[in-house]
Amino acid sequence: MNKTATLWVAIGFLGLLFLPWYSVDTGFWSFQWALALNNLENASAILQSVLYGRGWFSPPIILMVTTAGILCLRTNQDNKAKQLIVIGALGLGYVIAHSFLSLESELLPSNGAVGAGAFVTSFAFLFLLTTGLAHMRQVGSDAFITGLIGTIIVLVATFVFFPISHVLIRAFEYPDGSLGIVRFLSRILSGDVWGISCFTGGDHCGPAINSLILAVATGIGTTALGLSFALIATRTQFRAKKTLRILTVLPIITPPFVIGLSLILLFGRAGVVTDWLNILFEIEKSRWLYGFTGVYLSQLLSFTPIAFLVLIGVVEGVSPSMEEASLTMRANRWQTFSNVSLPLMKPGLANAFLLGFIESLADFGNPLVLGGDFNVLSTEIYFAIVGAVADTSRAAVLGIALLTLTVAAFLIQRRWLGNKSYTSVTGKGDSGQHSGLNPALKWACYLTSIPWAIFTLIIYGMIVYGSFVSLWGYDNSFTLKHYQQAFGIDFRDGMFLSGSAWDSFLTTIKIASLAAPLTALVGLLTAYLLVRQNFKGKSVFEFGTMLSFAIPGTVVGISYILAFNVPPIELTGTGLILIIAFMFRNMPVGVRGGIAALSQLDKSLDEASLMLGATSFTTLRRVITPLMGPAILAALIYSFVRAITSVSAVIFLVSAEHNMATSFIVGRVENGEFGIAIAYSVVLILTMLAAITFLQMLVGRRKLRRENRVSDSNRIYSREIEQPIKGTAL
Amino acid sequence: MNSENASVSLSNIKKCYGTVTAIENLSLEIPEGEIVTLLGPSGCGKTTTLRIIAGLEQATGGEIYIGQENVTHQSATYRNVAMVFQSYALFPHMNVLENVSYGLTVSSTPKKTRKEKAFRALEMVGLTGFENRLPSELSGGQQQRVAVARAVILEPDVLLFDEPLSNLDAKLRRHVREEIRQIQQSLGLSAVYVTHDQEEAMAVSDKIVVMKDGAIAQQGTPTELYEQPQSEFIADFIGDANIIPCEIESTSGNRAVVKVSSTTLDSYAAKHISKDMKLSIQPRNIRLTHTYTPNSLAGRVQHSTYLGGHMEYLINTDAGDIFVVDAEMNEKYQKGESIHAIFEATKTILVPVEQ
Ligand SMILES: Nc1ncnc2c1ncn2[C@@H]1O[C@H](COP(=O)(O)OP(=O)(O)OP(=O)(O)O)[C@@H](O)[C@H]1O
Ligand SMILES: [Mg+2]
Repeated sequence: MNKTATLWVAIGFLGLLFLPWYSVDTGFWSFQWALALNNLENASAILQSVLYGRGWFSPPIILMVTTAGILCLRTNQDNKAKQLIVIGALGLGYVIAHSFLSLESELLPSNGAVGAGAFVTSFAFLFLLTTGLAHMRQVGSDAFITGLIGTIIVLVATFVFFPISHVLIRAFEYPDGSLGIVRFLSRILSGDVWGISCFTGGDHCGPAINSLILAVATGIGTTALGLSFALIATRTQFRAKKTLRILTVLPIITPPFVIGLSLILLFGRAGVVTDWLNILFEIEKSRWLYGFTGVYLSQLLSFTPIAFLVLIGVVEGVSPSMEEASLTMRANRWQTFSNVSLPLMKPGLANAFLLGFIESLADFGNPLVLGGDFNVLSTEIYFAIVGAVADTSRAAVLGIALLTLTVAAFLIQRRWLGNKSYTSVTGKGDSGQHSGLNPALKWACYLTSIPWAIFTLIIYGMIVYGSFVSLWGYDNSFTLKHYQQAFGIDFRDGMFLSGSAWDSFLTTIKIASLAAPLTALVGLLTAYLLVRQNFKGKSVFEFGTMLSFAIPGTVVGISYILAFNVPPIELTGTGLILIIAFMFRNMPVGVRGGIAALSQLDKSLDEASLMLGATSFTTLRRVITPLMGPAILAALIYSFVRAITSVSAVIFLVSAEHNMATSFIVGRVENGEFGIAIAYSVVLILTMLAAITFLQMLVGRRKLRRENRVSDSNRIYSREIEQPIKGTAL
Repeated sequence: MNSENASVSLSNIKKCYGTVTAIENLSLEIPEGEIVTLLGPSGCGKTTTLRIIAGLEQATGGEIYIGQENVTHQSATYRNVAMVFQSYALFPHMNVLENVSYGLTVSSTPKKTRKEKAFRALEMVGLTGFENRLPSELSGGQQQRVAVARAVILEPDVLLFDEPLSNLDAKLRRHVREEIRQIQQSLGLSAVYVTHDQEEAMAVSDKIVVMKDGAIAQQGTPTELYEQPQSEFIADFIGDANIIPCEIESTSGNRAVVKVSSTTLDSYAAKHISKDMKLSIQPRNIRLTHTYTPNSLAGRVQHSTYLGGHMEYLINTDAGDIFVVDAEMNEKYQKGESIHAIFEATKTILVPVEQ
């Protein structure tokens, strides 16, 4: 305990003495502040209090000095630990309270946004607290574990709950700044949000009702299609089963809008199909695609693969011996399916429905492109912010409506379905064969799935094709100009990236490559805590970390601008805010993947390592990490790809300096420059495929080298690689 | 509290999982250089006790000493204790040598010492030449020995085994348990050994601790437990004894006369005679005859089984069914025959009735 605590006291002093307490205008990493440490803006806590007589810096300094004193004394270790806990809590509490309260003060040097010094000092206090707790064995088994728990709690609190609380507060705010519930209730329950006039002859329903209808329809549609695909893939002799599985990879590498754009190329006013229908049957060209139909179609196309992936597992999980038992009791195949297999799949089907439901609610790209007059919550939130008058409190109210729906679905999914799976893969070799489908059902599946699969392929084909067409519907000549405009390179004097997309493309790659390892790290470490450690409040901890899963991207977006646009934590306009947003939005997927992988790892391996004198950190590094290779890879790939394709949160957080690919594409779509938007999407898809292949080769080669080493364990996980992909992300 | 030569001592240990009490007030001493076996039916708390000694679980109450040091609040990492896991828990990504020297590696022992010690440990378990194999390339018995080598390399104060043989086939089990016994004695290690196989317990232990419902039912040498069970449970669990209800007629010294249904029998009396006692006798201490003999119960053969080396009979008597093993097989009795079951007086023991 002494060693760890001494280390953190030293780091605390570093933060108090050398690092600028407040955020510096020139940026921390430029280190220009180091040249003028005594300036008011750059001064550390100690310099602030010594040079500028700012008394409010004394408490943390005194606390840190006291800690140093305590550590030097030779007192009872238990007492020391208690003192560390008290000091850590006081220090952390003081720094946080001070950061918020001092905002009112006139004396602030800059605008009061905290900087590196405050950050390092807070963590030093936090770790003094957790080190003390570790000694008292209050939580976790050693200082590393308690420190890790503390860190994750602080991070999730700061970057998930703190911003969400801003949305709540803003929603309850009166124009004059006071808070009250009456206005909030009247606004959130108003016809503006929940109007149902479209049922009674009026023209528009409120966005919440639209969102709900769409989500239910999408949930049902994707579940039905997914089931039909899953039945074909597992219960028939269909030849191209392997190819069907490729469909499941598509949605994760598809940038938003791609499907919407492709639908426009086919069915829009200038679309191919529209043209033919017009020529052959003289059907008038219309804008029928824009509205519920178009959004619904695009959501079905986007999310069916997810349902398929979930339901493959469900359908395969029904034990063949149950079906065989039913067949031996003279039930025919239809009776077996409807009386045995289907009821066993019920929880799985409900799960697939809820996933489709949540995805649809949170979807932003498709309604933005195809919505027309059909307003849904996610786009309404966006328009409330970017509209003529930015109305953040309306955005907040709509955000809460959306959040309520998704969190409710999430809770239902966890509470109701959590422990209710009949299909389980046991260690027992379950021999036997799944019974085939009866002919009628088989043909029903074929007739829905095969056309749908072909349709999906056409959609993706259109994208590639469309990127080479001059002006869709008007000038169908072959051209490379979209690629040139977007990704042109000028070689006249040296190399110059003249294409308009380069800027956002390189930023995207940079941010995604930074976010991916961080996301994987936080996600997998959290999984490690959840699976391998026991501590008080673990279920709350788990719930907190998984909850960010249910927060739609648009809500994350507004919550971040509300929370991080003002001191004490000022991040808007930086690349950091994008990285952080990705980290906490994609973290649950890493958590799920990590939990799946860790549950396959015998716990006695960790224990054996501990027994041999390794600390939990060493165990994590030497035993667990090497055995988690595939899960780490999956988490990396997933978070990288999600960072490239996500748009809903990003669109609020980009800045001129840090523009992202997806928001660039939104801009082009809004200007009607479809060609560039499509070409850019194609490049993104190729980039992601290349990155996935590269990462897989990297790990693949490593695996070859140590093939016989991990042979057994690897075989177990290879299935788990799919796991994180299976999880949805909003 | 801690007696001089105990390498591990537990005093009043208690362990709760939520509302479930797994261990209740358990006190136990592991003398230096001995193997103590924890034996008992499934769920009685053997593994839990072992994990508490290891530091993998925290006791809810009570204290643990290793040597003279109070380690109650120390975590597994810092206790000088080693464990051989039921699943062996060999690290699949490390070869035999890396596995065996892991404990030295993480304590930053110089490479040379590390290698020397690892080779010595492997030699001891007879696995020289296997250094570069991976665990998946070894047989079950070999993996088992790697696990033992890995555990003893740190020269622990106490070595823990949790059902180390349960993954091996019956023949190998006998062989490996002798090896374990031999290694333990040659190194003079103290060890705690968990098993639910009583024969295995008898074979390896200096002392056996029989547990029941999270508490110690009786402890002693194998002979003591087998020959002088102090409760119905032990008599049944260790000796598979016939437990017969009886009434005590008279006692004199260490003999007692008891009445079983209408017959009087002579028996060995325990030190603490109470009113409620039952008669306990192991199946192989009952002889059968056709003719009446004193100290016997009359009955009828209900069932007889020929098992090659011995015969097994189920005899129907007024005092209930009794189970008899006849290893001499001078005469075979057929189903339905009337016979007398002679109770050998010195092997007939009184045990208190279980509440
Ligand atoms: N993590 C746990 N949570 C709740 N109860 C537990 C836990 N571990 C053990 N128990 C309970 O504690 C009791 C003792 O368990 P323990 O594993 O020590 O039994 P055991 O004697 O090793 O049995 P076996 O011979 O079957 O291995 C059991 O009733 C068990 O259900
Ligand atoms: Mg056990």
